[in-house]
Parts: sequence; C-alpha cells; structure tokens
Amino acid sequence: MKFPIEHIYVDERSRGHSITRRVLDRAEGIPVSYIGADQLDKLYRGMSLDTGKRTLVLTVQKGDMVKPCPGTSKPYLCCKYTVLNSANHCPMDCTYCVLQGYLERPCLTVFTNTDTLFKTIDRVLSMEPRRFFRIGTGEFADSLALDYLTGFSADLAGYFSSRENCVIELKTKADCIENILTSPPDRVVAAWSVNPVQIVSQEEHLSASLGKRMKAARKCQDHGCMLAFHFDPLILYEGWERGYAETVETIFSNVDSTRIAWISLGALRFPPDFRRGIIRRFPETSIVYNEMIRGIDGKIRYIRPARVKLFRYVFQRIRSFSKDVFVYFCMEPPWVWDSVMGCHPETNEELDYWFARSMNHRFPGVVCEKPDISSYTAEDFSASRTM
Amino acid sequence: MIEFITVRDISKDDSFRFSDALKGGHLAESIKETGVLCPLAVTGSPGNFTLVAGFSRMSAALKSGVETVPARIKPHGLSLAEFFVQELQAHAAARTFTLTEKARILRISGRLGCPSSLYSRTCRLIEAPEEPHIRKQITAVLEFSPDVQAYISEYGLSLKQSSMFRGLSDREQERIIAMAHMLGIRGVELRKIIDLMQHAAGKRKLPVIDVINSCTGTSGDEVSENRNQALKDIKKRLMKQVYPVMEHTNSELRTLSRGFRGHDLVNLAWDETLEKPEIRLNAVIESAEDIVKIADIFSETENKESLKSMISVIKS
Repeated sequence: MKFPIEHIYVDERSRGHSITRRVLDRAEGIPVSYIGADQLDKLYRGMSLDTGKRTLVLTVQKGDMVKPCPGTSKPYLCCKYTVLNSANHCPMDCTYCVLQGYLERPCLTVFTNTDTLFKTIDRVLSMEPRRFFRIGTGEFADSLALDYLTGFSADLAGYFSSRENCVIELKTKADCIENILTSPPDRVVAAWSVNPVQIVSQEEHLSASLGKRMKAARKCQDHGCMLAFHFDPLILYEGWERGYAETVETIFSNVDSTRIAWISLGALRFPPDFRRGIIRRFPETSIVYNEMIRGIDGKIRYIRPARVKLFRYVFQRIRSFSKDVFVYFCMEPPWVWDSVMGCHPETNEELDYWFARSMNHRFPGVVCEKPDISSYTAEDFSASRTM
Repeated sequence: MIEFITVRDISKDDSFRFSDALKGGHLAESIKETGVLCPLAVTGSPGNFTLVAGFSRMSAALKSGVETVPARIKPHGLSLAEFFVQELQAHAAARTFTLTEKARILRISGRLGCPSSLYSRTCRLIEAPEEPHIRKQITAVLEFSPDVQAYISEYGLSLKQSSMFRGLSDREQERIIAMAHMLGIRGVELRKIIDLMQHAAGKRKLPVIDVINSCTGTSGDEVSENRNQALKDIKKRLMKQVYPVMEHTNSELRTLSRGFRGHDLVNLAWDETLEKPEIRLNAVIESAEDIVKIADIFSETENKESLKSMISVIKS
C-alpha cells in the first residue's frame, strides 16, 4: 500500500539524517526540493489540507518529541499513554479525523532527528524504572502509513527490543507491515483502528479495507508481535449493531485472542468548531448528524445514553469471545465505565496500573516485575511525567 | 489637481464603490445650499469620467440638481491602484470599515492588480490580515445574499460570526434574516438556531429551507406576534428534531419532578445534556427550622418515590 506523494521537501537541517537518506533512496520518481528552515512557514502558508496530504516534509522537531498523551480533562478518564511525536499528519483522509483541525501545518511531516528522540525515551524510561510504559507513534500521525518510505518501524522495534518495562504501539489503518516483519517483534504491539466495513468504505477514505487490516494483523501475530485493536471512533449509523458484531467476530476469527494486548472503545468526539469543517470537506457524510452534546470537557460527543448503549453492545460482543482481553474506554467518565463494566479506575494513574497488571498477567516477561499500584499513584508521579 | 467637472460627464459605473450605504437626505440638503465642498475623485478624461471616491456626495449632488462638482482627477503618473489607495487613506483616517466594506475593498484592489507593497498598505489601512487564505475568506462574504451582507454590516458581525451563513442558499439566507429581524435575534443565539436547522436538515437529508418552513411556516407568517413565545416554539420544534432522546428524557424528568413537593424550600435540577447522571437538590436554609422542614420534605413517601423514579430515568 503506497500513498500518492507528489513532492518531498527536505529541510536543510535534515540533510544527512538516516531517515532522510532512506526516504530519498525509496522515493523514486517523486520530485525533491531542499529548503531552508525559514522557508517552511512560507511553504505551509495557504496550502490546503488536500495538497498537504500529498506533500511530505522532512524536518527536525525542535519541541518535545516524547510527551504524555494530551487526553482530556476531568471527570473523563485517560490512560496515561506516552506519545512519540515523530511524525505529523496522515495521507489517509478519514472524515472524522481530528488531525484536520488539530495540527497547525497541513503537510505530512516526518521528523528526522531520531537520535534526540531515542535519547529522550531513554531519559523518560530511566526516570521511572518500576513503571510499565505504553508508548506510541499513532497519536499525531498514522504509525505505518509512510513506513514504506521511512522504515522507522524497524528502528523503533530494534530500539525497544533492548529495553525493559515498555512496549511500542504502532497504530495504523494501513497494511504497510513489511518492515515490522523483518524486525525484532518482542516489544512491538501492532495495532489497528477498526470499524465496520460500511464505515471503512464511507468514512475512512484511502485506508486499507478491514480484510487487509486483519490479514496484516495475522502476519504480525505470526511474526511474534502483540496486537491491539481500537474501536475508536465508534460511530452510530443505521445498522450499527450488526456492523460492530461482524467487526468483533472478524477480529476474533482472524487472530488469536491471547495475543491481543488491549482493545479500546471510544465514541466519536471532536472539538466544537470541527463539525463545520467536517461538513465542508465531506458534505456527503452523515456522522455529524447524531444526537451529540458538548461534554464537560467541551468536546462534542454522543449523549451519554447513546454512548452507553453502543459501548455495552460492543463490550458484550468482545466478552463473548474473550473473558480476559483488556478492554478500556478512551475519554469516558467513571459513571460510563460503571454502566458498562460495573467498575471504574479511581484515577488515570490507576488505569495506567490496570494496564501493567493485565500485561504482567497475560504477557509474562514484558513487565519486568509484578506491578505495584503505589508506583503508579505516587504523588510525585505527575510531576515526573512532565518530561 | 482639483477641477470643476460636469456631473453629466461622470458615468454611473460603481465598480469602485465599497461603502455599505449611500448617505441620504441631509447631505443632499446641505449640497443644495452650499454645493459640494469636498472634492470627488475620478479617473478618465472630460466627457468620460469614472468615479473612484465620493459616491454619497455624487448621489446627493444628483438629487439636489447641482451641475458641477469639484473633483480630483487621477494624474497620469499615478497608477489607478495607487490613486484608489490614496483615496482609501482619506476614508481610513475618519472611520472603521465593516466586514462587507473590507471585502469590497480587497476585491477592488485585487481587480486593480495591486502590487504586494500596496496590498499590504491597503490591509493595514482597513485593519485586515494579509494572509491570502484570510483575504479569500473575507471576500467570500460578498457571495452571501444582499440581505445577509446588510445584516453583517448593520450588526458589525466579525468574519467568524458571519461564517454561520456559509452553506445556505440565497433563499435560505433571506428567510433566516427575515426571521432574525422578526424575532429580534442575533449573534450567538442566531448561530445556535442556524446550527440546529442545518443539523435537522442534514439528519433528515432535506434542504435547510424545508426545515425553516417546518418550524416557522412557509412564509414566516406563522411566527406569532409574541417574539419570545415564537422563538421558544421554534427552538422546541428544532430540538425535537435534533435531540429526540434528550428531549424525551428531559420531558419525562420534568413530569416526574412535578410529583416532588419541595414547598419552595427544595428545588430539583439536573444536567439537561444528560452527561451527568445525577439529580441536584438545591435547598434554601434561612433558619434552623428550615432544616427540620427540609428533613420532613425528604421523609414524605411521595417525594421518595418521585426521586427514585427520576434517578431511574436519568440512569437508564
């Protein structure tokens, strides 16, 4: 699966970096221009998102490359995920994608100063040696969509294979797994965002079909990777029950449930101003016309009764296939956890601990010692996570 | 150089006009008495002048029957763009521009092929950002119907506020503006109603005009004379279309809450978005006796039953 990149711009500061060399070696036939750092803003100015999705910029990241997931505010619970800011934007074009409005620059961007990135991860891991870290690149970009050019997944897999108490999650809607299949799998969680076939074809433009995602997941599993699936965003549409039942069944009939590290459930949500943007870019979509309210955190989301109904249904389908796969909600309040699962973590830190406990139980050796809740809820923890 | 030129020699071309409205009667009366004192600005040659600035004065001069007016004629060495910006500068010193005026000015300077330095100067004069994409957004205001443009000027709407009319047809814009005038609504409230209308239309895959008709009547005549009640009715109809579950649940809660007798000391409230599954009890305590009375209120069996039912509804 390759995406139609029409032009590559290389920031002079990225010249000579290993990722830059790799991309230029593999970018046969794509025009390349070198530009100064001061010209980048000029390049971004006035560029439409549609053009940006076909334009790749190789540059250096001057800001934080490792940071806590932005999450959302209380009372919604977040899982204390750690984000690697190694790339921005995605060549796919999902109707609901928050990156359309979240990122300031419209271009696909790959940060080439990976030495800084790896040094920062070392520092972060060493600050809390008893803590189990879930780290991922799929927050501000698709983890694998441009991997056929960058080969960065192999660098990450190699780096993490020699580290302890952490995993690297590569989250994608593509099927570009060639580099993963030739890299050490032991600390890699290959993850796919999933949705019913109808949603994939109508709302997740240019992404791999559900079947292709499952085929890729199977290959990663056979290679030795752990897997994860994200039902995020769950979308209400006519026939959603059948669609999600089939999706859950497709997952469990294609992969071994004991290799699934976690499954997340998150209902469609976006910032208030974003709705008009979706309608403007995708006038055909109907996903924004459900019964949605402004939540306590200011984000637009389905009303709680609708979310609970959706979560309950999908959660019960998952449980009918696996009693112990770790399932969690992304950005939901405690009372929604209670309504669906009958329990909730008291804090974000406790949820982080629940992950470690489940991983220690289900994937022996991945967590280096039995997790102790006090290491996760210590008061100085939040301060140390400012990174 | 200022010359007196014949009014008849000035064409009716208003391609340089950017002001929202021509000033009316007072100016004509004054001109009838004293003639035009402040010169117009024109380009062209005797017999074929085009007005660049002074549209109100020109209109008033025509009304008052004045035959000649003083005018500054564009010198040969000066480009039309430079001449226009010079005139603009005179305006900018005395006033601020509305969004629609800014849009017309940017469109004129675009048509004149202003070089970038002159374009920057224009933007500074009218206090508009220079970025091309914002310029595009500003000039897009001129694609709105004349009613909307007039509304934007009348209420001094910002670019962000005016975006509420995007995606609506001319007919829809006209109907909404008529409704806004009739009900006296504007700003955030109008935006909320337009959002609801678009949401209802999108949900039912209907044109927005059908939703407008369904909640205000085909011609708008059904909007009652009582503005507040009419606005309430429109909102209610729209909410029912867009938030059926929420409306139904809240209506059920309202009915059940009537069964709770709080004797003016205890009020019930809940989050109408249903995001928080809780009933809030607001008690007014002014004396120690009130506490006893409140305890009695909660010990009443009927009240307990009402609360139980409400909690069950809100948690379901």
